Amino acid sequence: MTINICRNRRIEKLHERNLFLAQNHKRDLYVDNPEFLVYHWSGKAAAFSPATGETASDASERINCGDHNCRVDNSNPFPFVNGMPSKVNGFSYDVNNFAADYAFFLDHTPVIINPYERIVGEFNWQLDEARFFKYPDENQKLGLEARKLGAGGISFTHTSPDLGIGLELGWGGILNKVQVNRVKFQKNDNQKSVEYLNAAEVVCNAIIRFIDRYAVEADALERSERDPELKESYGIVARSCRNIITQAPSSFVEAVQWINFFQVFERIIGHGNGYGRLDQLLIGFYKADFNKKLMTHEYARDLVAELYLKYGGNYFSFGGRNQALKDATNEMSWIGIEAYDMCGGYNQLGAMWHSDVDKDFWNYACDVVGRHGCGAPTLVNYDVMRASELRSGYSEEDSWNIAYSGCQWYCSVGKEYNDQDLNSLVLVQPMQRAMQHAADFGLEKWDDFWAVYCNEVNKTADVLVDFKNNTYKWQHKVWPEIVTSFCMHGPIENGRDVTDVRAVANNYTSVNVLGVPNVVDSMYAMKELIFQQKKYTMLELIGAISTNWDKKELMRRDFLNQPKFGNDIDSVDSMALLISKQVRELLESKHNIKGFHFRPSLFQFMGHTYAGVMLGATPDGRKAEEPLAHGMNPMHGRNTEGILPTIRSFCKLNFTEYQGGSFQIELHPSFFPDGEKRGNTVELFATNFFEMGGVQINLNVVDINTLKKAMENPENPEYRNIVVKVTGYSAHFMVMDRKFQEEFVKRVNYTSLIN
Amino acid sequence: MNGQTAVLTEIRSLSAHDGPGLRITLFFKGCSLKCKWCHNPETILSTPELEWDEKSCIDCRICEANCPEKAIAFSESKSYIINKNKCTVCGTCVATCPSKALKIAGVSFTVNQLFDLIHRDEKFIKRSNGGITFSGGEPALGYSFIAELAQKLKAFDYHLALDTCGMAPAKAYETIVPLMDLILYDLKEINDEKHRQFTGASNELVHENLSLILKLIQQNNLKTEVWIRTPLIPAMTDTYENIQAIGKFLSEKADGSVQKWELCTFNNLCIAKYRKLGKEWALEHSDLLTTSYAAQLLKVAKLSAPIIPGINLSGLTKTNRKT
Repeated sequence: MTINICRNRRIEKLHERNLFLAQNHKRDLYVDNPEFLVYHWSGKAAAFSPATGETASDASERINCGDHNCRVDNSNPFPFVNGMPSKVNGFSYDVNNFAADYAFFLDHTPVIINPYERIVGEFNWQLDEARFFKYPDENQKLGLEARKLGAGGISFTHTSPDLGIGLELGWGGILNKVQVNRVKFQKNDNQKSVEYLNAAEVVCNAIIRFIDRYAVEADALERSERDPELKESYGIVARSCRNIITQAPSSFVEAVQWINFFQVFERIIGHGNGYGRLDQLLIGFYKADFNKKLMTHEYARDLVAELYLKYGGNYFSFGGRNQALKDATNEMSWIGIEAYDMCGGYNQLGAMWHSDVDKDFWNYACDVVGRHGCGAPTLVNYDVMRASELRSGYSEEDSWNIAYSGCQWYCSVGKEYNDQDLNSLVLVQPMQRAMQHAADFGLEKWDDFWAVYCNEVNKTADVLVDFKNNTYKWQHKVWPEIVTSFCMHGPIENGRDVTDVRAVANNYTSVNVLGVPNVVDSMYAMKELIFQQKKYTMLELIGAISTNWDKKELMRRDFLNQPKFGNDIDSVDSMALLISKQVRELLESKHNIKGFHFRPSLFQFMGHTYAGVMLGATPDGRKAEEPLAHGMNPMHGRNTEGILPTIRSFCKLNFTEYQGGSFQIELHPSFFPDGEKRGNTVELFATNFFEMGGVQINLNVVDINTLKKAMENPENPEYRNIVVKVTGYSAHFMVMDRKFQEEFVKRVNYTSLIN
Repeated sequence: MNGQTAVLTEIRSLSAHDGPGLRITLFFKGCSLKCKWCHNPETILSTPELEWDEKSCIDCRICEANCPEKAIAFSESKSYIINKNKCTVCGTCVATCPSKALKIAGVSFTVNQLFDLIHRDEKFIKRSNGGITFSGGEPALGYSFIAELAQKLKAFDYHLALDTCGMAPAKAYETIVPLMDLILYDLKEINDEKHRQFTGASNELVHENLSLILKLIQQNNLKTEVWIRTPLIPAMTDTYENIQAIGKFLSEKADGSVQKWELCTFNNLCIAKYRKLGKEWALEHSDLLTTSYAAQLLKVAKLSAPIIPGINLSGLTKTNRKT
């Protein structure tokens, strides 16, 4: 099936603006420092780095992750910062302190309606640029302790609300729900929940005022506009905003508008949730309008494309199964992917495969990835995601509505709060301590060394648990997520913020384990050369890596030439199973104060790029300046046998036992046979990969030599449009940090399935 | 029969270029021709050979010290010299090389080993409507091995292709053609004198064997297709006369089983292989075909062999000049 989709003039205009924002650094996302990437906590800000304001890092210090932000930069700080209630009355650890700031901030966020838009709502500042907030010092101390041993993390808006709740209730309905529940808690004299719902009411009213301002502004624009095309758009905006101030959306365009506003209200506090299954959320609205002849397939596609262009990083997913576990693909699934096909470039959508997925839809999604070549939509395995949630302990009821929700993670929509992708365990560090211990005590047997290693991993896990638990004690008082709570199952009914204990049904803490393949390769090489062949001593090895293998090139080669994970060699792949199982069982044995266990994720955001220098050389023959492996992917350039052996190694792990583990793959354009539809090749590859148990594919079609040239000629406009799937997220190549670029061009660029 | 082995230089997983779909291509070592342009020089000799990769070599000279036959020497300029009369390809140097710069081209496999390697990728192959291609070297030289492997694969319904230069005994084709779904057959040069000059052998047998294959297909009512392949080598086979003459030859000989004729444009990507083997390559500095000239040759081919349904060009790269 060939679908040819062109942008009409209106979408073309919006597309141009979106590109302009991305290429001119108006969408950049920063982190404070390399430590944030490695430990997922900078030691300073409790989240990603605010772009302006008192907790913002210096421009020379912070790292640019690329155009991965919802915020539209306007080059100035928030002008009303001194009027923030917490600045005027002081910051305190209570939910109403937060709510007052939120309401003030939203009230002073300008209305922005751009020409040609039919879906509106954007923002220039995030709340963390204006509101000072800080965890107590004890938390900071625990964080630094954890970092010393190789762990860290933040807790911040990384879940997937169920927008179905809001689309059904509207803001008036949500306000009513808050008030009704408050009466219940007043009766029971539950002051804490009454306080919480008071704060929720303040936030909800601010939201209602905000939409009202948009309706008024659009009205005025419609009245004063002469150009009929623009006038029509303003009129549509005015009516849909007016209709959803308090009422639930009653048409397709209102529903899309409602979703965009919700994203604004949420994203304005910082970075970022997923928003569930757009095809399920919108199909009812679409069908109703379509049957009344108020909507066409094409216009619906334009509006969804517009939603994407408003913030090209929407984590929506498509496909998957319904509650009866039948294929859930519907016409909106097609519209959702077609809308991306129309815009291309940067976005974060997920196509959820399962063994009964609609074949044509799946082939189309694969073709879109192959043609656009920058990892969108991300291909994920619904069956493995659901199985892993069930294994964690989710109920059947909570697990069917799962969605690819963030870069490399997934969520049960509206039913969990888990810090996905926000906690880090740097597995190299306990290994380094174990090596030192082995040298100090002259350990000669592998079994003894292994026991010490396990003990050291345990120490790292313990400090992480302490740090997280302390954060959980404070999170709902420091930075409650009230807007998210509105669209979750539980918080309003329970009178507790989503970040608090006993608010939602599932609270498993997920931890990104960094450097697993490097530890696997290192442990294997040490087992072989130090403990079995006794060719070197541990002391010699520590000496060599402490000087980055200086004058020890032959020794380095010896370690480098040991079998490596990623080549379908059972001996070393068994080590991969052992290492990953050990850290998994260990994390699963630890519990958070919410009563749920920890669990490992075998992926990483971008920590592997900076971790190399921070951690030094490793016994896998890696030099300090080389990045670590990305997630569970084999170390760069060590998988020399081609894609299939790499996949075989990779899929020896059972991904239902882990919370994600994406397979990163860079295909050269010549990979695809001449004249063959790219989708067929991608589908062939992806379907087999998923049948082998893989969970996610981040696929780029790119000539890495072009990227190298781009790095040499950053001013050349020819390279400005290149978008790559960096890890779980996409960005314009030229916009992101140099170190990220360097890591990217080291990857294996497959020209065929063989090498 | 179970003891049969064959020496292969490469098992290429999921290649898109040797028949329909994604294929596993087996490169058998040993060839009956010595084409000047040969792109797989490591497959010419039937026995294993040592390869040295200059780029990976770190000049540690451990190989020199460890060679039991004293067959390795280094010159002043880090260039590695191997005395092929002394080298027994024992592999000692390969095992001790710290930078993996040394490799033996040619590994021996049994039928079962190859079958197992192929069969684990069954889903990939079948989902793409691909198959297995026997290539080389000249795979038909080892026909009894191929027949055994092909029978085993046929039991699992794999699509099988033989990539042959046509220089093998009639017995070879009689044995294996009935097992094949596709024959990729080379017609390189129609002028016998030139053929001898370019490949070291007369083309008489090549022409006879094509007739034999077509006869085998017809007599046995086989559904086997034949695809002709002609390498377009600058200043050798890439003349109008040659393409026209091959076209005429095909028009006279071909029947319904000849479905395609592919003109494979020359490239010089194999130079690294020659260097690794320590061999000179006469075509190292040859120009690539221009895209327009290649297009003209394609036109000539189509005019001269209208009987063949699919005639196409392959192998043009970005570096082929546009003019």
